Formats: sequence, C-alpha cells, structure tokens
Amino acid sequence: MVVRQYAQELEYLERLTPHSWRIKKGFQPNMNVEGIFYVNQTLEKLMFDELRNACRPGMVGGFLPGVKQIANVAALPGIVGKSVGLPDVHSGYGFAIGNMAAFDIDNPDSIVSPGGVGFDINCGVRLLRTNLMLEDVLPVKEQLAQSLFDHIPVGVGSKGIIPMNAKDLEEALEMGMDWSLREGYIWAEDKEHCEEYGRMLNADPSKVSLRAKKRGLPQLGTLGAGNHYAEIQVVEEIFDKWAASKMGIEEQGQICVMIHSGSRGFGHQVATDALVQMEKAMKRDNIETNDRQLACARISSQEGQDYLKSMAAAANFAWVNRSSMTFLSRQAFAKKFGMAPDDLDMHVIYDVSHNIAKVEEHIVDGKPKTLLVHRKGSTRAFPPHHPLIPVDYQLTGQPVLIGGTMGTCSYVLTGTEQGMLETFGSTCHGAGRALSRAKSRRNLDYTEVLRKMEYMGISIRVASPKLVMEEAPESYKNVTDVVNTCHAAGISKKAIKLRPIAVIKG
Amino acid sequence: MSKRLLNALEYPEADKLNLNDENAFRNVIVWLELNRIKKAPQSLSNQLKNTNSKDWYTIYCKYKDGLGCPVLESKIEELQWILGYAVQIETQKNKNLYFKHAVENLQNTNVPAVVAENLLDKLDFRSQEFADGIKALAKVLNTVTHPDPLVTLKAVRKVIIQRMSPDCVENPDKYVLKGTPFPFQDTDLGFDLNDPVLNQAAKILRMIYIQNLRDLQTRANELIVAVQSVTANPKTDTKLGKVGF
Amino acid sequence: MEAVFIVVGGGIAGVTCAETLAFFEPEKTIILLSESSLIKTVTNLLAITRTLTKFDIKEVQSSEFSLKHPNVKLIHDTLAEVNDKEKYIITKTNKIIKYEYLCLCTGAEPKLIPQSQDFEEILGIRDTDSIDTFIKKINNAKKIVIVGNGGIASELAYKIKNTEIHWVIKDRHISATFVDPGAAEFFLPSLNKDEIQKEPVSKRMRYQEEDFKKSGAALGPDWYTNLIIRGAGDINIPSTVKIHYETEISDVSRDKKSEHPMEITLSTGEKIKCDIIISATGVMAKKLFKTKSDLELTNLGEIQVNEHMETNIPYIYAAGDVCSANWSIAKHWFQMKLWTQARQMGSYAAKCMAGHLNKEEVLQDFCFEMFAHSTKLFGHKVILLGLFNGQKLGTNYEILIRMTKGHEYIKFVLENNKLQGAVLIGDTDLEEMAENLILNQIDLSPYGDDILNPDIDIEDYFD
Repeated sequence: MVVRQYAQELEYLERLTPHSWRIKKGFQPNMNVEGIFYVNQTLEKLMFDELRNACRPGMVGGFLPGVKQIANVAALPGIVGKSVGLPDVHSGYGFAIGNMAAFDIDNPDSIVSPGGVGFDINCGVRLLRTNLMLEDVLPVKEQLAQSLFDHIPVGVGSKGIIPMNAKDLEEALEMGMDWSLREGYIWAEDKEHCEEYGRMLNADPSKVSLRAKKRGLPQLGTLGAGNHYAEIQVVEEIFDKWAASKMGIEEQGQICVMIHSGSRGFGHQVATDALVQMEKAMKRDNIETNDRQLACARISSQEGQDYLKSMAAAANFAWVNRSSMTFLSRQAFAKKFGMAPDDLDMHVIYDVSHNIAKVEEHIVDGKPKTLLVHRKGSTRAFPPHHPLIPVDYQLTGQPVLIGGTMGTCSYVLTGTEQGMLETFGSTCHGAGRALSRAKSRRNLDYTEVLRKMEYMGISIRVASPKLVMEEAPESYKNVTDVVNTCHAAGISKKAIKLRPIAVIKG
Repeated sequence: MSKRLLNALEYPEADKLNLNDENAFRNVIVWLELNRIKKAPQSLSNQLKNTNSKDWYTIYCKYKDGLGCPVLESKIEELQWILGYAVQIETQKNKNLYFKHAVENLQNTNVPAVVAENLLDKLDFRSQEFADGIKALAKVLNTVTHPDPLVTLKAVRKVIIQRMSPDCVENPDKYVLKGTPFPFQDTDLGFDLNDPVLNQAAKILRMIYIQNLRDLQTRANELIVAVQSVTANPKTDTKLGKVGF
Repeated sequence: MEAVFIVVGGGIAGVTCAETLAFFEPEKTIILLSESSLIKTVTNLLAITRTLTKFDIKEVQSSEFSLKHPNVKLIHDTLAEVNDKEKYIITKTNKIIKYEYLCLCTGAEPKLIPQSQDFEEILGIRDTDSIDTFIKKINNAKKIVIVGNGGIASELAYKIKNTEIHWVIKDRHISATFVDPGAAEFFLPSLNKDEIQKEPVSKRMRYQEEDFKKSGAALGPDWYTNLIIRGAGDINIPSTVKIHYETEISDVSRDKKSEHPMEITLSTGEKIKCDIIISATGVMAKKLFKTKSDLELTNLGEIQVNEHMETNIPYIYAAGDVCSANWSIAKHWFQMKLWTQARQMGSYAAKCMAGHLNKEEVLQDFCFEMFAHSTKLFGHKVILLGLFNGQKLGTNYEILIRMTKGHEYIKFVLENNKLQGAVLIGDTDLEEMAENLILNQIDLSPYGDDILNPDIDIEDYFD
C-alpha cells in the first residue's frame, strides 16, 4: 500500500457541504466510485484524528481508519453511486461499521461480501409503545425490570417458555416472524411494522452448516436467551408531532420498550463459513480487493447465492429472537399492571435491521436499477410514499430506530427523499452496543509477569499503546452528535428522543 | 414447501424425495391421483400409472389440464399447484375437523343465501328515469354526482352500506373513524406536477389509495388471526402475564 | 414404585437434569433420588455469551422443590444397586423402583492426602457439609496449612482471616488449575490482606437437617460469598499467607502438648507446626453402587459416556463429575470437574433422554464445542475460554498479554495467529468477542499485538 504523509492524504478529501466530505478517487488504489462521509464538527475532528494517527511512521497496523475502509469498499467490483460513510462510522472487519454500499445486480462482476453485512447478521432494534406514563412506571420500575428478566427464559425453572428443538429451529430459519406468528408468540400487526415483514423469502436452511445450527439452537431449549438486552424508555422530546402521532406517541413521558438483538453466534457462523468459501471463489474468479478482509464472491456465483440464502436464514433467526423478546416484554408488563397487552397498547412501532444486505430498486443516474444494498451498521431509511414501507407510515416516511449505547438516549428518525437520493435510503444506526470508546490510559507493567512466565518456554508478546497521543484518546461518538448530523445533512429527520429508565440484560 | 405438503398428505418417506428426479416426480403424480385426488377417468389414470411409457409426459399434460392447472413455468411449480389442489380436497373432506378448532372465527363469515330472482336485474340502467332517480338519491345523501349514473350509484351504495345501517345510525361513533388529523396538505407528495390543482388531486388519490391499502392490510391481519386460532401453541396465550402455563 | 425417568444425585448435575426433564416432559413421571433432603438448584442464571453462563446456587428444601416441579418426586435415599436387565434400582432402604431411563449423577468426593486416615485434624473440603464442620473447627485455629492449588484452596487462602496460613502447592505458581504464572503474579497482591475487613453476615440460607447420615453435594460457585472465615477465636493476630511452592507433604505427626499440635514435614525437609490441615486437592468420581452388567469406567473410576451422555448399558445415562466424556472431543473443549460443566451435562443428558424417548434427533449441545467457565478468584471476576492455558497445544503457541495492576489481566493464547483460548480477569467486556474469535478461527495476523492495544476499542469490531 502507498504510504503517504497526512498532508498528502488530505488532498484527496474535499468538503462538499457543512456536513459531508467527498473521498476522491486515488485515496486508495483502484477506486471505482468516490466515497462520501457525513460528519459534524465534533465527529469531523475524530475522523481526521484517526487518519492522522494512522499516517504516523510505523503505524501500518491491521486497524485501518474508517475513512480508508470506506475508500477500499469503493474499489470493489460492481459498486454504484458512492461508498457511503454514516456519521457513526468506525472501523470494523472488512467494511467499516457505518458503511453502506450498493452493487448493480445486472453487472455480472458485482459482488456480495459478508464483511459488508457484518457477523451479527440482522442485528437490529425494535420499539414497542405503551399507553403508560412515566409516573405509572417509576414506582415499579425495578420490579418491572426484574420481572422482564424473570421472563427472559435464561434457565430451567424460569417460567415455562416453550421448548425449541432442532426441527423448530429449521422452520424458524425458513419462516422468520411467520413462525413466531404461527406459534402465537406475536400479533398480526407486528408483522406489518417490520422491515421485509419479518421474513426474508429467499432463506434456505439447507445452505446453513450444521455447526451454525448447533450454535444457534438455544442451549436449554428456550428462545431468546443470551446476548440481548431491552430498555424501558420514556419519551423525552418530540421533534415531529405528526410523525410521532402516526407512531402512537402523543406526549412526553410516554413509556416505550426498546429491544436490541440479532442473530449472534448463528450469524457469526454463517458469516465465517461464507468467508472460507469466498476466499476460494476469489481465487477462481480472479477477484482482487484492497484488503483481504473484504472477501467476496460474484452475486451470481454459487458462493454468492449460497451466502445470500444462509444470510436470509440468519436474518429470519434474528427476527424470531426479537419476536420472542416482544412476547416476553408484553407478558411482563401485563403481569405487572394487571392488564392485557392489547389494553396497554403494546404495539410494535417498528423493527429495523442494521446488519444486512437486500435487493432493492433505486434510481441511479436517472435510471431505475436493481441493486444489492449492503448496510453494515447502517439503517434503511425510506422516504414517504415508498411502496416498501408500511401503510401507516406512507405519509411520514419509514421510522428509523437509533439505539444508544446501553444507558444513553435513543432516537426515532424518519426517512427522507434526500436520503433516498444521496445514500440509497440509508442512515446511521446509533450503536448496536457500543460506539468506539477507548479506555482510559492504563498503568501497564509487565516485568514481573514476564519473568514469572519465562520458564514455560512459550513466546510471549505484550500489548501496549503504540504512541502517546497528543490528547486523551477520547474517540467516543455521542449518539446525539450522530443523529444531529443525519438530520442536518437531510438524510433523515428527527422525530422522537427517548431516555432509558431501566436496562434489562438477558 | 413441496415436501411439507407431501408430508401433510402422508406421502411415504417424503423427506427423502428428490423431486428433480424424473422418476420420483412421476411416482408422486401417480400416487397423488390414485390416493388423494381421484379425479381422472379410469382410462387416463391407467395410462398415467404406466410411468415408464414414453408418452407419459403427454398423458400427464392431459391430466393436469383436466384438473385445470394453469400454465406454469416449471414442472416443480406444476407439482406445487397439484399438491395445493390435493390439499384442498383433503381439507374439504375433513373440514368439520378443522372447523371445530376455529368455529368462533368462522361463524360470522358464513355466506348468506343467494336470492334467485332479483327485480333489479330488469332495470334499464341507461334510461333517463334511472339517471334522474340516482341523482335525486345522491342529493338526499349529500353525495357528489358523476356524469355516469352507475358510478354515482356505486358511491351511493357505499354511503348506504357504511353509514345507513340501523346500528350505524344509532351508534355513529362505532363506525365513523376518528383518527388524529394529519396535515396532509403540508406533506411532500414525493413528486411535483407543477400545477397546484393537479397536485391537490394527486394528493386526494394518494389518500384514497392509502386507505384502500390500510383496509387490505387489516383484512390480511384478520386472516392471520383466524389462522392463529388454529395453529398457535396454547402456551402462548397472552392472558394477563401468564407465561407458558 | 416406578417412573419414566430416575435421576440419581442431589447435586447440581442431578438437579439440573431433573429440572430440565420436568421442563421438556411435564407429563411424565420423574424421580430424583437424593442423599440429602436439601437439594441444590441453579438460580439467577445469566447468559454472558453463547457458551458462557454465570449462576448462583441455592439450596432448597425438598418440599419447595416439589412445589415448583409437580411431576418430579423427590426421594430421600441412597442408590445401592441397579438391575439393568429388568430396569429397576434398589436403594439402601430396600426400595425397588422401576425406570425407563436412568441418569447417574452421583458426583465425586474429595481426594484427601494419604495421611488423613490417621488424623482427624486433616479436613477435606469440597461439599457443603464439610464447610460447616470446617468453620467450627477453624474458629480457634491460629495456624493453618492448606494443601492444594485449585479454586477452593485459592479461595480459602484468600478468605481465611486472622490466622497464619501456610499454603502448600506442588506447582510453581498459585491457582495453577485455572491460571498461568502471569495471572498468579497478578493475584498475589490480593493475598496481602491486612486491611480491616467488615464482618458480613453469612447470608447463606441453611436449613437444619435431622440426623440423617449424608454425604452432601459439592459446594456451589458462591459458597464463600459473604462468608468471612475467621480463626484464632477472639484474639487479633495478623493475617498472613506464606506460600510453599513446588512441594508436597511427606509426613504428618501430632504432639498434643504443643501449642500447635500438628507438625507437617514438606518434601523439601521443612517442618511447619499448625493446628489444622486443610486438604483441597481435587476430587474422585463416586460410584458406590453395584450394577448387573459392568459399566465401562476409566482407570480413575469415572463412568464413560458417549456424545449423548449414554453409558455402555442401554437406557442408562450419566452426567456431572461422575462421568468422563468419551466422544471425539471438539478442539476447544475439554472436561474439567466444574459447576459449569455439571450443569451443562445434567441439562444435556435430560435433553438426550427426552429426545430418545420421543425418537427426536438431538444435536449435541454447543457448549461442548468450547470450554467456558466463569468464576471469582481473589475477589476478581475470572473468565476462562477455550484452551486458556494452552491445553493440548504443547509449546507450539504464542501468548499475548495485557495487564493493568489490580485492574485487569488479559491473556490470549494464539496458534498460527488464530485465537485458541483466553483468560479474562477483571471487567474486560471482551468475553463475547473472544468467544467468537475462538469459534470463528479468524486470522488475526493483520492486527498483530494491536488486537489488545488498550487504545483501540474492539468490542464491536467483529460484529
């Protein structure tokens, strides 16, 4: 790779608007299209600091700065439009987290890349509303969190949730939320307020390895256990009264439940299996990329198709997980308040996926095209009147749920026409779990430890910071900065702000 | 999907079948006809049974056309259709068994008895008299008229059905939708016709379209709920916080 | 009497097995045969990652347990004989119970140093009953010798206050069962415990048992929580721990007249006087019943089980400390007699029996793909994943370490630049990532040492 000075690197970056920058061709080798990233002043500084640090001598490590990763994606075969970096972009495996890229399905060279979807396939957020107010919930907040936890089926003895065996899993992978519906876990209305109606039709469980299935099968035969969390939230601010009202949010103080979960281990195995296959396919089809982590295969190839089918199964798995948690949340509230979930108006406002690849129609250079859109750490944000959004949101645009890091504020945005044109209807994702948050400087001292381990005859390396940064490495990206940037850039619009009052880890 | 249907029809060893195998395909068709569908005339079904015959495909085409199978792209799709047909027959046969599970949901949807003779059939819809009558009726009901009296009649019919039933007149609140007002005038249409009047018209069409869509969605939901009453695991009953049992 | 399922053993494996059966087969009859009327159940189970869980153990009265699981019948008795030909068992009190499926979870018993036969001052510690005796005896002890280097020995050395402790270990570093010498070094300052300890009340709920000759089930992972063990009666003496590395006890003698009546001789020749000797040197499988056909055992007396937890005798399963995994073991898993594994095996054996009964295919539980254990040592949270000590790897591996004194100790075990195991001490938030890196076998060579660079936050890098 070309090693350039920071000043030289900057020549390839150009400010487009107060909230966006262009990455010109040549920033990384073989770029087919340009890149773009969205930032405000604070985020801009973080972005450039990261690049500057990477330009220091001796810094050719494995962690590429986000902006370099965006440019490497722009060099992938078949990419159209731009490689888009959303305001919360930070480095990830292959694609940066917060990167969106679209590939023309009709171009035989176009590729699909597991690194562009992420390992936690269909990691996403779901928001339930209630007709309760803060004062109803505050006094029982702890018990409620506890009872939600009781109901999250993390063990034998937790109140009899229904067993799931290998055959059930197979069906759930094929049917997604339709499986949850069939079994009675959720309401019919939940389905319409879900991207893809909660089911990817091209899912094919037979393309999923046995190891992935084992890794996905709930340990104690129950659903939804492990690695998920839910928050009880309160509406803190309403920016768009009409949009909020369409979502059933009428006033400040109203209580909502936000559910975060994905396909976890199952998705990891699907992605890992695909990466192995794709490395072979790349050799066979002579596909070259700037970064080995960008393993990919032609969409039309066997490997590409197999990945898309197993990815869809993983997506379905994640929806079943979120549905099970929906079921449990409704039960917990119903029990605590002695009212049926319907009377508590516990409807699903929306359910978004932020690690997924989907086939969508977009206008590219004035012509309609069928694209494979990779969104990794990026949320779909379709504008009003788009045929793929639920009828209830036809006038407001698709709700976009932005979960904060555990314990920070969350937002609901809506999709815009401008976002449709500029970012293929994509916006930020907030934080699946955590935004980059470097640890405070540590007191690292190894002499004694190393001395003690010498006799083992094992080669020992120690990790230490490479350089003393000029200032504290505070690269935390605040969710409010991220959301405000998307709003100011016009790629989505703020509707509601929510504040957590209890976090439940399952 | 095909395998699931075959399983439901109790086809032996359905899981092990490879439907892309020509022999397996033929055997499945024959089995379906002999054991489940039983619609073909004796001669045709005898010919069909001879799966090794070189004319089998022609016989098969005759058979599926006889069942009314539409023109489809592949044999697998045709099989899918025939399976659906067979399942339908089975369902009809055992409908009492299934209805037992969903009686409360199906009671209301019973088709009303059809009246054999209708006086209205003899009306002359093109007569001036008819047109005037419709116009007068529309005026009474406060409905805008259309140059074509039949279109006006449709509108009038809608008003009567939706708002004039005895229950509706007594309890209008039950029927008149009271949504939150939405400033649709200010919303972006997504396109611009460069003419305020046309834009206004387009907006109204949009609203009507959205409402139709909503109705459709609601009906889809009702259908799902009806199906759920048969398929749901009883342990998922959402009565007051009882998880499981 | 008869039952579809009989589970033998009131320890964590047996109870988890019975509970899981009750969950999968609420219509079937289940009998749990327990030697003690108190049984252990898992509570507050928390899934930390896919394979890693943390849980507490609660002892409940049999009546409470029966209330929770109406189809489980608890019988207070000891297994004497299994007639596998006619499928019934005989208990010590001559009850005959027929079964369709039998699961043996009889656990293990402490392995004492050989001299223990002659001296009552040598205490074995492993189960809840022994800890009671132990606390009573230790109340007046001023000098204690602890032998053994596992989790329990480590916790005792850390928890016993107001006493002079001599800790005899045969390894070159402390807590060798779980950690490497580096982590041991990290822990050492914790043993310096002159700070004044608050006196917490032991919150452990204990019911008194009537005279019933019992051999209780093993200790829970929380056996010492809120428990301060204090020696030397009312006199205040400084708490000290002296560690005797790479040595064993070669002789024990008693002199009743001496201030400290016991004297041990170490293999190094050194002599130490003390009041009490605590032996915490591991466990041995406990199989004290007869069977008609011969059960296949290992040379340590453990019952061999296949990948479905079945023994060589049809319809007889085994789980927990009494069994030995005799299937082709996944690369990143190995058996260790731990709470975590007792629970996993008990639950999985139940799933297999239910699957067998219903003729359903049961996939082997994913927890047997990778070793994962969460515990507490010297007051720090400790998570062990995969081949955390380079087990099975010979010397053909690399270690990558990050440590902050008193805060965290992270060790990655790498082979061909792929993560094979990890030790995570302190609140590292890296468990899920490490688990996925081990299971996915992602090539980490591009990152080099940066994978643990403290300035780079990689928690969600692999999401």
